[in-house]
Amino acid sequence: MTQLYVLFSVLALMAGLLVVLQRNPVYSALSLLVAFVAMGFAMILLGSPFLGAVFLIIYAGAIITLFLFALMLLNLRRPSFDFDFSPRSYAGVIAVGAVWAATLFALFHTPELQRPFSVNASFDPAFYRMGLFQQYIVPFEILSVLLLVALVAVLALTRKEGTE
Amino acid sequence: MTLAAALAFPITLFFVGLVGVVLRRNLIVILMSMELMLNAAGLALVVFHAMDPSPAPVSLVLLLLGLAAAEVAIGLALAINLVRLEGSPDVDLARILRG
Repeated sequence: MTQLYVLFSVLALMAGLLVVLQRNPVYSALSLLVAFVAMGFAMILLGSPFLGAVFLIIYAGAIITLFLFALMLLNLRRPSFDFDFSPRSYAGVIAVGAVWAATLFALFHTPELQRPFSVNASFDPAFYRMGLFQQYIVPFEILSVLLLVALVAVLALTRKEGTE
Repeated sequence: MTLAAALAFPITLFFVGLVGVVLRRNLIVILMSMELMLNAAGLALVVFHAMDPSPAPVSLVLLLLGLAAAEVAIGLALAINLVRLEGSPDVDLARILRG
């Protein structure tokens, strides 16, 4: 199980690098699809098959389609969306690398995290009931309001000038 | 493999997404990188859940799915507005705070 988890994690990492490094945004979206599928399978291997299935359906199905739909809708001819090769961008990448190195250093020097890793979880609907409808009922309700607000905001944002 | 080694993958994936946000100028690719960061955080929660099963991580990942849906909807609407105004999804072209 853990070997397969490493395999799918490395696959997700490589696809994630391709998302960042591809020049064409359509290829970025397809690399993102590979990354999402790999992460969904990693979740299934980590003992959360329900989350993995939901992840595959929503992300690999709906969100990638949304991205591709937006790219096709915009129909960009001029490839003006290149990398930002300015010094501030290099400084940002170096800063991100430094924070990453510091995070990994902290990760491998925290004694509580040096336990041997094993998958103890299995699918249990009671977790979702206790979590979503008891412990996190307030964030759950806030999320429903947030989705409504996002719906109204998207309609307001994409309304053309002059049309009521 | 230790728990720290298992957590190193989602953390690295998060920083790959962060590099994308810093390095790219296309708003749609920046949104994709943000999705990558959000889902790396979700994968880290699932790693914790695999080690010590509890209701909190799986519920948070489900809430994260809804949050990401709202975020990507608004972000793509902004990208479409930017292309409509400036003809390109380059974030450096976004200088005014109105549509």
